Parts: sequence; structure tokens; C-alpha cells
Amino acid sequence: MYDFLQYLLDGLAIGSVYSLIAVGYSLVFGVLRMVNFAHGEFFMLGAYLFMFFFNLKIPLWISFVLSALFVGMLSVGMERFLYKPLRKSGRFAPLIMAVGLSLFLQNFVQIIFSPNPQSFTVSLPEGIIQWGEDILIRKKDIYIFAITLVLTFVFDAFIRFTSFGRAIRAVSMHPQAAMLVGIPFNRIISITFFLGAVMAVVGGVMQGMSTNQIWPFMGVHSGLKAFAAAVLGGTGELWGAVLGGFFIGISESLLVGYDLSMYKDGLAYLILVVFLLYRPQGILGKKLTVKV
Amino acid sequence: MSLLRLNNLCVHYGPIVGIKDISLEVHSGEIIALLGANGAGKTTTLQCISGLLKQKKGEIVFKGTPIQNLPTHTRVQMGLSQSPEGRMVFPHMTVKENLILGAFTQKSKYLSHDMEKVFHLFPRLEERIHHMASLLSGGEQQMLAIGRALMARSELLLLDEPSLGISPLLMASIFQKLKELNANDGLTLLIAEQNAHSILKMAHRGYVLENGEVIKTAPASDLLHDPVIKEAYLGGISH
Repeated sequence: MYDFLQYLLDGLAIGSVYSLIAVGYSLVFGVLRMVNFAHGEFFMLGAYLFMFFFNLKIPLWISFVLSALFVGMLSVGMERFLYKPLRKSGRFAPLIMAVGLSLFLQNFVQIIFSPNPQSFTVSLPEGIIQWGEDILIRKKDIYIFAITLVLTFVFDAFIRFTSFGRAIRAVSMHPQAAMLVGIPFNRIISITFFLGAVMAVVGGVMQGMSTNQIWPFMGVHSGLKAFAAAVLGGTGELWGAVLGGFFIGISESLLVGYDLSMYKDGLAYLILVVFLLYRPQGILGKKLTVKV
Repeated sequence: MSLLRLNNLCVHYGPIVGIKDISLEVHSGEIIALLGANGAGKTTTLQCISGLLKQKKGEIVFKGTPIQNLPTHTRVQMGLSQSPEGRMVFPHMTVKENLILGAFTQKSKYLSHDMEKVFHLFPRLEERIHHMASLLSGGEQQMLAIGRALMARSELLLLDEPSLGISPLLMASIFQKLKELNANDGLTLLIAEQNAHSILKMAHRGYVLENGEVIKTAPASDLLHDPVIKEAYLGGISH
């Protein structure tokens, strides 16, 4: 029983990182009905750029803000110049473009930095809290989980109560109707890409601070699992993506805990396949009925 | 001065011609009926005016400015709003949120006043204010679509088949309210309808579309008594 609780808590920290990436997948899918398979690279680039700025002796917070801005602008630029021209070419072309960009970014980082893992010299506070007799909680896991929750609440409030947030939801529900009420469609798409990328950067930096190591393929590894999390939660649903991330994180942690770690990476894809087949709208997704 | 003018507007769907060489004029303060059977090109014309569809050629002039190459949201800012075919309400938002979005281009200081005005026109919407739009009946969604379009404080309101799917009684009441808006606020209306009889009784002028072309234009009272129109669109009933 204590073991189970322990694995659950470990899973929440792993899942937090997936959640932060999944939010971007989900939002972008919501507004454009497009899976941006290059999204995982924003997670990786965020961690690399943070370290790059930090190594230039730029203060921690400023390094973070710079890397978030930089990756956010990159994602907006990618959408404007590479995805947007393909919007009318069906679903396949933007998908291939995304896979291509993903490969490009991975290799680009290998050339600029190195194909080998880099050390991430900033850490979250170390230390362990003992809870009861057997449960040990790492302090940094608490930080990661708390930051994820706070960010999600802030994001949720933004989506719910601000004019731009409402516009993002309107575009997700009915793009044409959104245009007809005067919402600038392209600007909303840009904002959505930007915010999604920033969330991924937070995830990347936290992952770095937690494991003290970053490598060029970390975006593929975590990105695909986050994609599964987004599908699981219901694409287009903010809380769905976050819950999906936790679910996958916890499942992985349980598998590792009960000596089934060789199935760890396969599990996310199993979940992905099962959901796509039997409940494509996800846990929180809504089915739409049209009245005539 | 004409508020809206279409000059030889053509829209193609791939190789299929949607509308061809449509020319039409709407003056400030008018109610214009756009008549025609299913597939005559009414919706295509309206969607092209609002910018959801792109013209093959031709010109759309609104308040003296050519707008055919401007994005939809800019046209809304200029004072042109639409209650579209199929209503297109935001399904998982409340009635209130739908109306707030209708005022997206407007300053927030007008919001409560304008919402009151919509509720005055459609008291049913106020009763349903916190309901999700997807849970409304067809008629209520129609009221919401019109109400949302009114929130944009536009000068020209395009209405696409407002009578579709709602009872004649409700339709008569909605038409009555639109007529009041026209008379009291000077709102200009361009209404596409298959239900020719009731629309012609309130419109000033009408255009008749057939196979994507304007085949006739005349004052509404003339169209109402035109034998050909009577035969084709009024079911031969004489009033």
C-alpha cells in the first residue's frame, strides 16, 4: 500500500512535465485541428536556450524569460511562414511539415551544441520530506507539481475570463463564427502557438532542473507521450491535457515500481491507440451535435 | 448614397460556378430581400460579402471602400455583421458568452446596455442566459445568432434564412422586431429568404436569384404581386 502511494507521488512529478507539453498540443489542435508534431522540440529548445543564456552569466529569471520569448517567437514564426501557407492543402501537408521541422530542430541542436547529453547546472532545491513511516517525497517533485498546477490555473483563468481567452475558445468551437463576430483569426492562432510554446519551455526547464541533464532527443521522447496525454484527456481541453499528463506519468511510475519498467515507454502508445479507437474525443472531450 | 454595392461578383467552388456577375445595391436604411430557391446562390452571396468566401472576380464596396480583399474581422469592425446560415452559435458557451463575443469589436462600456437591448428584443434569451447554446432549441439559437450579430453595433446586418427551422409564429415576431430596429435605429438589413411572402411584406426592395444570377429586381410590393414570382416562390397563393 505504501509502495503504491509512493509510486503515485513519483508519477505526479513525471506527469507534470507531460502535462505542460500536452497543453500546447491540445490548444493548437483545438484552434487549427492540426497536430503540431514539432511541439515537443519547443520543450527541448527551451531547456537548451535557458542553459545557453544562463551560461552567459545572465540571471536565472531573465534567462528563463529570454528562452520563453525566443521559443515562443520561433513557434509563431514557424506557424506564420511554414504552416499557414499549407492550411488549404489538406491535413497531410502540415503534418509532414511538422515532422520535418521536428527532425530539423533535433539535428540543428546537435550541430550547434552536441549530440551528447549536456549537463544542466541549475537545480531545484534538493531534499526529501518524510511523510509517515515509509513515504518519501522529493522537494523538487513538490515544486514541479505545484508550478504545473499554478500555471494551469492561471492559464485556465486566462482562457475562461479574458477577451483573448474567450476568442481562443470561440475559434476552437467554430472558426467561421469566430471570424463573423470580428475575431482576428490569424492573430489568435499566433497567440495560441506562443502560449503553447511557453508552457513547453517551462516543462523543459523544469525537466532540466530535475534531472540535471538535457539531450537533443528529449523533445521526441517526452513530446510523443505528451501527445498521447493530450489525446487521452480530450484534444482542445486544457484540463484534459493536464489530467492526461498525470495519468500517463502515474502509469509509468507504477510500471517501473512493480518491475515492469521495460513496458514503460510502450504504455503511452498503448493508451493512445486504445483511445483513438474507442474514445477519440478523450476523457473530457465533448461530442458535438448540430441542430437544424 | 449606397451603403453596400456589389459589382459583377463571381464566386466559384472549384470548377462549379456559385454565383456569377451579381450586382446589387443596398442603401442606408433599407430592408432588402434576397430571394431564391435552394442553391440559387443566396448564402454564397452573403458569405462573400462577409468575407467567409473569396470571390473569383468582382468588387464589394462598403461605405465607399472596396472591401473584397479585407479579412472578415476587418469588415465586422467597419460595421458589417452577419447572422449566418445554420446559426453557427458557439455551442459550449452560454448565451451570455455568445453575446459577449458578438461585441468582440466593441468597447466594453457598451456591453451591458447592448445586452439589455438584445434581451428586450428577445426576452427568451434572458431567461436562458446561463444555458449552453447547444442546449437551446432551434428557434432560440436563431434568436441568439441574430442577437449576437446585433451586439456588433453594425450598420448593415446580413441575415441568412432567419426563418429556417422555426415556427411561423416566432418568425412573424422576429420579423416584427427586425422591422422596428430598421425603423427606430436605422439598421440596414439584407435578408436572404426562401419564405418570400413574409419577407416581401416588410422589405423595401428585393432581388431574385436563380442559378447564381440576379434575374429580377424590383420594389418589394411589385415582387409580391408579380405573377412569375408568385408562381415560383409564393406557391401561387394570392393575397
